[in-house]
Amino acid sequence: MRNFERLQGLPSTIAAGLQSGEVVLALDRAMAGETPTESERGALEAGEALLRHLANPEIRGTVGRTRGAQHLMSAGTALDAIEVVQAASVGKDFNTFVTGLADVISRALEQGVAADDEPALRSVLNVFSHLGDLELARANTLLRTREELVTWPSSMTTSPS
Amino acid sequence: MAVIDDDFAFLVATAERLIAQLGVDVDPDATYSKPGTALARHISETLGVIRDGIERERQRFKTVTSEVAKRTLSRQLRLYISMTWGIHDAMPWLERPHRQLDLGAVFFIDEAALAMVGPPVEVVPTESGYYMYWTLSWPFEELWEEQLHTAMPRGTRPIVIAYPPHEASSVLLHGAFAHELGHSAVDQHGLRDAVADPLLRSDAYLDGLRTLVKTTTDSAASATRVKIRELILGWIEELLCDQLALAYLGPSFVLCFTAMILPVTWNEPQSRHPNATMRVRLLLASLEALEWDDLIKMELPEIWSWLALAANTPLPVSDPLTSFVQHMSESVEVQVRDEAVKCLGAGLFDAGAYRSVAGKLGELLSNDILPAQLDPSTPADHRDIMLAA
Repeated sequence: MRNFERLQGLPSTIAAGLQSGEVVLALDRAMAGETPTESERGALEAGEALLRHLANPEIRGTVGRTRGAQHLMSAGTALDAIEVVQAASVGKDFNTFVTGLADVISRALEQGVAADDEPALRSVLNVFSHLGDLELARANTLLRTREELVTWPSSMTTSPS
Repeated sequence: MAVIDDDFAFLVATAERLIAQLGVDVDPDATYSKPGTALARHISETLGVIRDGIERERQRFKTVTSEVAKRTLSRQLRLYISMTWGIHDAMPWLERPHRQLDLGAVFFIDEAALAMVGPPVEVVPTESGYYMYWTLSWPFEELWEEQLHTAMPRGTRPIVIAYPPHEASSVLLHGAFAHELGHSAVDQHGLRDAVADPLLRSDAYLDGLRTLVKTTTDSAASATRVKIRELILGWIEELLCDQLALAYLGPSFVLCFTAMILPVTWNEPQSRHPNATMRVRLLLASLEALEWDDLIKMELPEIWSWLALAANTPLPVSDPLTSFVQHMSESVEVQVRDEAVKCLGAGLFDAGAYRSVAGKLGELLSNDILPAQLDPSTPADHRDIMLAA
């Protein structure tokens, strides 16, 4: 791995990992009944923006324009997040599942944590915890080896209608 | 829980040691020989803000009780520590290169940086160590802002610009620096978003995507859409850099670019760059739009024919995804050129102005006389000299 390629990807990967951690920490406190601070609200909004981005990668809402959200929505992190969410949504429609996770964050921000939403919020917490692990692993991969950050998408996933 | 606490304490001690060790070699108050002062300050300030972040996590760790929170804070520290490892990569840039650029080349790059990016900038030339020109500006910018709860100081912009060491004296290839500086200009002026945002919201893009990608809502479709978006963003940035370099350097950039790129690639698409033939096609279109084409056709007819051959070469495969990425990137050709010309403003290399001095420069150069000035009071523009040469 050359220093240029490493430093092109490392800071954003680290930033995305840190942002994932902020989402986990904010959710952990919210689920313990604490009112989110302004900083925690920002982290939760960034997490929500990432989940909505996974359902509609072309859409960037106003929330998605914050720097924290943009770190999470960078291609490498978004692809990692798709992997994590896919693992958590086995047997379910991906878009419906990921939109449901985004909605539960939105409700928690607006109304506080409802008891009915706690299982879904636990899923969100696990998703971002796993995403943080993946970003740490990717940071270490960048530090040690060569990695193509964005591979050419396979034609097998396209439909030449 | 005690083991988790011990693990966290170990991480804090490790982070502090790593930061202190780097700090020994990056002292912002030390007298650095320019260039490198702004870069050293950026590294030093990044280390400082990482140190602050670690202290903040240390304080948070004292207040949290859940295992999830403690494990997450430990991972935050591991991320910070990984970043300190990465900072080691930037340290050689503070050293003087073994094979240095000529002084004239350094002036040329400084002038280009001021015209394309705007002041204040600090260009730090360094050897790439392999056959590649590249650039990084504010290399640790991503770490700032929300993660570290502080805004990055926006003083002099450090631009690290690297060249293949054995091409240090190949002046006519140094037009590649203009493309590399384009990346800093794109960042500084928000050019990529200005072009890409309307495209990614357009019916043409969204309709094309719906046709291309299966209408299912599975994760594979999402991943493909993320990748297509990233590819188009990357291609648009490269096209912007090409056009900025052409707007600043005129035909010199096209000649330099094709001399470097076409020997190793032709029409095959790449993940980060559009296929070379497409880039040539857009460059030739801009030469015509900026009224440079007649000059090249007249002075270098064989080369123009070769470039036209490249420009007219289509993609090698009919893969619909690749065609879509190319079609979308080409659809913003005019916007890309307009943004580049607008960005350069008065710094645009004017074909008419060149023609007024071309004869005199050509005469001096053909007699092996360095055209440092055109008459007793007018220094020759570096771009005029490069093109005449």
